[in-house]
Amino acid sequence: VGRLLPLAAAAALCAGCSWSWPRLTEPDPEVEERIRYYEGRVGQDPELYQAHASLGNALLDRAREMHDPDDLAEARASLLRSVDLQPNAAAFHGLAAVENFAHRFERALDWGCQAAEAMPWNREVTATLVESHLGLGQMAEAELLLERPKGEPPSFPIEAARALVHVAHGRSEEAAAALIRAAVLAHEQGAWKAVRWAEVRAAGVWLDAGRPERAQPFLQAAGRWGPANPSFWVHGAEYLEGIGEWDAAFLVYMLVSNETWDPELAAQASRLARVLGDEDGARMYFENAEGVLRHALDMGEVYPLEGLAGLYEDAGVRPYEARELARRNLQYKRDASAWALARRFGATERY
Amino acid sequence: MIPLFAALALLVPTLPVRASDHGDMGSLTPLGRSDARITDLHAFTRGDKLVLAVCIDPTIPRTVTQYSFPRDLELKIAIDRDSPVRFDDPEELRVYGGTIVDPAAIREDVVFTIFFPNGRPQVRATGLAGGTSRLKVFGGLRDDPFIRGPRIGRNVGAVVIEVPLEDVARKQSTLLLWTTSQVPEMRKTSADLAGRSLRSMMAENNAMNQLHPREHFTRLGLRPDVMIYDTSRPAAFPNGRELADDVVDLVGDPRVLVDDAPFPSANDVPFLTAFPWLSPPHQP
Repeated sequence: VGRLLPLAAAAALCAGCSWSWPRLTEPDPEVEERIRYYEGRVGQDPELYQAHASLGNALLDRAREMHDPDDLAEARASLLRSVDLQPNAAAFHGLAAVENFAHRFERALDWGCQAAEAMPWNREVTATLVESHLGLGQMAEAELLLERPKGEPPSFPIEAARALVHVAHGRSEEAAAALIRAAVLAHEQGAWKAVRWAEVRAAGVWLDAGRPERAQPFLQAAGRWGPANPSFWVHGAEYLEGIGEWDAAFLVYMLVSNETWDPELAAQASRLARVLGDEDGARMYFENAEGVLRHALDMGEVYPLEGLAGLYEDAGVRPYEARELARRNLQYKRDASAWALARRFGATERY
Repeated sequence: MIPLFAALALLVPTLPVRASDHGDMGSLTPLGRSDARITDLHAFTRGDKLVLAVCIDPTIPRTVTQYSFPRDLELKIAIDRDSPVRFDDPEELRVYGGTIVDPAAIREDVVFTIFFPNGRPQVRATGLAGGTSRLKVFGGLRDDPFIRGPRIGRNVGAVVIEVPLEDVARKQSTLLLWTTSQVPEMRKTSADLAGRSLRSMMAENNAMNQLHPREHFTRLGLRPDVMIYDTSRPAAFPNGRELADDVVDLVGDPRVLVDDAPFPSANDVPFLTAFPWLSPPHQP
């Protein structure tokens, strides 16, 4: 957070200058290296099913940060190619994660169950299954998975998944506590990216709860881990917004949205621009967000349904289309936010 | 505010795995290379033949009926056939099968290198008296021979080599054996190593997997993770390892025993009475 305000102030001072902005985010060099490495491997031998699976997982990691729908599509294709060559647990798990990210939770559950059958001891798979159940609104099933055998040591994936369940119940205190436990477990293993992930997520929990002052220490902690990823900046901007630093928040949304495909950032920039009275900016970022979401929809993805409906709702436009999007969304995603959106549009009848 | 795009995306980063189950070398799991995890090494004799069996990949889905070995995997079975071994220390005999007189001098005299250019094993051997002409090799899907509750009904990828004992054991009857796996992602000595059952697969011994057995002693100060096998005596853990050896009970590590339900003491399916000795795979 200490880095946010000076940077935002500098950005504000430079507004109107012809300088190019410094990048706020950097592609994760480790992920980029993995992608290059496995692209090379499958280029040399297209039948290396393990390399296809590893490439798919690396592309998914980049998609999670940069939100490029092409990365998601390529990740899925690579993982399916792997399964096609030789059914294997790594690809099953990768496909479950891909489909969770893509909001195709029923498909994710199917792949996740296959991964769990092959690797019943793997708690990352358990966490993926929890995520699928939550996406389908199956809280009891998700909680059942978190009941661990007596004597099983605590693990990072289980604590992270436990946090998700608490979030789904609206239990911010418990969710943040679970994420702190996850961060400690990751720290013990020297997994610094995982530590930062947990800290950023904990900040997000408090921001979602409307408690920016509780988010601040987590963002401050996450900021010490070097170059920031988009998730950090999203929550950083939300924090700035939460404490009333709207101009600074807008600048961060604006800068990071130019560096990633994440339509959430453009949507936030649009919304804040409207609040700040910048109608041209609001329109421009609305169109950016809509363009990215529609592009992904056109590619056959369904994850944009909720985001696009919400974008239209926020902007007060295309209510009939938004209602249809919210209704279609329930076909794939049935958690609290999906139902709430559909209810606001009176679109709770299922397909 | 619109709902967070992909709000549920857990984004759980991959962590090194600490606890071990059947396979070991936790760092292979985050790499997605469970297929390179060595699950078992067996060494026993049938008549005048030495049988060596290496099993890999504890994560093969039950639905798999055709198994293509990883094309970039390389397995090695190494044998030191002249390191002196004593059998006069009862505790070492019980735990390790003997006492290696000079652990720093362990050298591989015979090496079987197994690679899988088309998903099927091809074997190259060095140090073998009779060359490779008298080798019998099997590679494919088999029932997991590990006698352990969670592995009932599971299959593994298995490579079985049968070789005339006289081609391997020349100066003495006692052999030291170990096996390693290598994949391009791991740029160290080996990705995984197995010698005596349930040693290098335990979390506290993970460092052994990247070191040559003699370095277990010279660098880690540990007894080398090799299988001691006096071929003049019947194989019975820890003297070699027969297929029927219930190493979970014989080693008696409580961390392994606790998850052994329903606590089998024999394999779930009978072993074959002829080559390749391991049981056929379970069908879906």
